[in-house]
Amino acid sequence: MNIVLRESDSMPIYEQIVREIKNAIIKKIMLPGDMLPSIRSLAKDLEISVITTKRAYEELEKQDLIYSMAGKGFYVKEPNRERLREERLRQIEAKMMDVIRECKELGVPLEELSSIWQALYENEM
Amino acid sequence: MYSMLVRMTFRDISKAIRNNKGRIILVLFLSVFFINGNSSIKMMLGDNVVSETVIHSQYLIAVFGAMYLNMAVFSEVPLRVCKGLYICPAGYQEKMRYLYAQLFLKMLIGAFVIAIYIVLGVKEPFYDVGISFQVILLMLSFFAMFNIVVNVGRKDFGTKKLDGRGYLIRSREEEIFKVYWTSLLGLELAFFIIDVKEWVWISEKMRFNIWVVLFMINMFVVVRYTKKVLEEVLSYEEVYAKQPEVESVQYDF
Amino acid sequence: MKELLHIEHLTKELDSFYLEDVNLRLEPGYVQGLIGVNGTGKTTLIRTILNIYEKDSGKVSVCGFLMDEDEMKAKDRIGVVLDKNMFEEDFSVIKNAEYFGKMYSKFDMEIFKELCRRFQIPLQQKIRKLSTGFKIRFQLAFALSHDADLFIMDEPASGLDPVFRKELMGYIQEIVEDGTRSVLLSTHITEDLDRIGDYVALMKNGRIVLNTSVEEMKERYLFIYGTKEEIEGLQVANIIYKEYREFQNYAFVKKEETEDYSRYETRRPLLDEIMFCLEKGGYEYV
Repeated sequence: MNIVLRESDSMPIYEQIVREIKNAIIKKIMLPGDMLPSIRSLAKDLEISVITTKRAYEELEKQDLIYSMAGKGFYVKEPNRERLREERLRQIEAKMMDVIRECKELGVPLEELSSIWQALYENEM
Repeated sequence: MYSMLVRMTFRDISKAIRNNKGRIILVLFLSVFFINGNSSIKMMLGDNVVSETVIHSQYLIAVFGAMYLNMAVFSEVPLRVCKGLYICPAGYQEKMRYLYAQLFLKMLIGAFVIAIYIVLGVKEPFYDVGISFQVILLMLSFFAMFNIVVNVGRKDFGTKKLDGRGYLIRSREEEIFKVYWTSLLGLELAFFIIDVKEWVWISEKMRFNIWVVLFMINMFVVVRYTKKVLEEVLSYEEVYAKQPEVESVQYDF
Repeated sequence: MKELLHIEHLTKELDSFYLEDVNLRLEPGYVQGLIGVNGTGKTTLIRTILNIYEKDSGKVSVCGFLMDEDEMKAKDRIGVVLDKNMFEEDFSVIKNAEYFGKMYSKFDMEIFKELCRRFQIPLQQKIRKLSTGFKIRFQLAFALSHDADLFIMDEPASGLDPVFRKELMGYIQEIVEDGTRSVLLSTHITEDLDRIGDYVALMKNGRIVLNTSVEEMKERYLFIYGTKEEIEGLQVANIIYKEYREFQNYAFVKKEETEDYSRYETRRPLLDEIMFCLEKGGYEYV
C-alpha cells in the first residue's frame, strides 16, 4: 500500500491518510485481517507527526474499518461493503451535482449532458 | 576529568605566555643578569657590604623576579569552569572541586617557578640566613600567589568587565579579596623589607607577634573569601554571558 | 510512563531577557517544538532548563529527577545540541568525547566512533577547525552516544545544508520512534515542525502563550480570502490580521466553533504564517 499526501491539499493530513487507507481497503489492496503499520512507524515513514497518524487510526476505528488489539496493533476489519458502496455513491453524487451546476451555468441542456455521459462511459469501458 | 584540567591549564598558560612575550623575555633577561648573584649585587651595593645583606638581596630579587613572571602569566589565566561542565552531569560539588584543583595546580606551578628562581638566583639558598626571613618571605609569596591566582575572568578570553566609565566591575567579594588584600599585602611587604634592615626599636618578640597577627589576617581573608569568589566563578552568567560592552549591554545569544 | 521533562512556574531575569511563569510537560515519544520571534526567550529558556543559567524560581525535573536536588542524575539523561558550542575548541573531537564522555554513566565510545563515521566527522580534528554544520554533527553524535532519554536542541538546523538538515529530521524521528525518548526542539525553521513536530509551544515576551499539538494549532486559525471589499467588511469573530495586496487579500482569524466558514475561500495556515500574523496583528486572540 502506498500513501500519497499533499500538504497543500485542503483536506487535513489525517483525513488524507484515512482516505488513502479506506481506498486501499475498498480496492482490496488491504484485506481483512491484514496488520496496519504501527502509529509510530507510519509517522516515521511519512515524515509526519505521530499525533496525526494516531488521529487517522482513531478515525478509521470510528468508521468501523479497523480494530485494535491491545499490545498488538491495528488490523483491517471486514468492511461493510454495502455501507461503503452507499458512502462512495454519495460522494459521486456530490461530484455529479458539481457537474450539473456547471452545466446549468453554461446553459447545457439535460439531453446534451446525457449523451456526453453515455459517450464518455462507453469509451471508458 | 583532571587530566583535561591539567592540559587546559597548560594550554591557557602557553597562550598567556605568547601574549606577554615581551614582558617575559625582559624579566628572563634581567633574571639571568641577576642570577650571577654575588658580582651584580656587590656592584650595586658596593664592595664592603655584609654577606648577609647580599644573600637577603638575592632572595628578594629572586622572589620578586619569580612573582613578576607569575603575575604576568597568571593574571591572564583566570579561574574558570570549562563550558562543557555546565552541560555534562557535574553538580555544584564537582564544579567546586574542579575550581579548587585548578587553584591548587596554579599555586603549584607558581611555587615551582619561585623555587627555580631561588635555587638559581641565590648563591647559597640553604645558607643559614635566618629561618624567620625565609619563612616570612615564602609565606608572603604564598599569599601573593594566592591573590594572583584567584581571578575571575569574563568571556572566553577572561577579559574584565567594564562599566559605563570604563572601570572594572567587581563583586563585593572580589573587591575585598583583590583590592584591599593587595594593599594589605603591599603594606606587609614594605614592613618586611624595612624589617630586614632591622629597626632597632622593635623587639624580637614584638616582630614575632606582629607577623603572627598579620598572617592570621591573611589566612582569614583566604578562608572567608576564596569560596565566595570561586562561587562567583561558578556562575556561567557572570563569566561567559556578559559582554564588556560600554554603550549598551548585549548578550551573545 | 514518567514525564521526561516537567517545568513548573519557571522564572528567570537576565537584564533585558526574561522568562515568566513558564510551564511545560513533555511525555516520552514526542517531538516538542519551541518557536517564537528572536528575543522572546527561547534560548534563555533552554539554558535555564539545563541550569546553565540559574533560575530565579520554579521547578525543573527531568525523568523524575529535580534539577535542584539531583542535577547530575538529571543531566545524565539529557542529550544536548546547542547552537553555541560548549566543548573545548582547542582539543580534538575524540579527546573531547573522552573527557566529557566519562561524566556520563552510559557513554559508549564505540557507538560514538560509529556515529562519527556515519556523520563523516574526522576524529582527530580540533573542534575549532570544524565548520558550523560539523560542530552540530559532533554534538549530535555525542548526544546519541550516552543513552539519553531527553534531547534538547537549540536551533540545530540553522547552520546546516538542506541535505543534512533533512537527515537531522530523520534522526530526530528515529529518536522518538520507539516511544521512550523525546526531543525538545527550538527552531526558526518551522517547516520542519510542520511536518515532524508533534507539539509546539509559541513563546512571546518570555512566556509560553500557546502550547498545543501542531495539528490543533493549524486548525485553530484560518486564512479567509476574498476581494478587498469582502475582506474589509468581513463579519467574523476574532480577526487577528488583514492584508491587502493587488491580487490577493486575506484575513487571518482564530476559528470560532459557531461560525460557518464554508461560504468563504479558506486555507489552513502553516506555522510560520501563524507566527507572522500573530506578530503583525497582535496576540490578544491567541
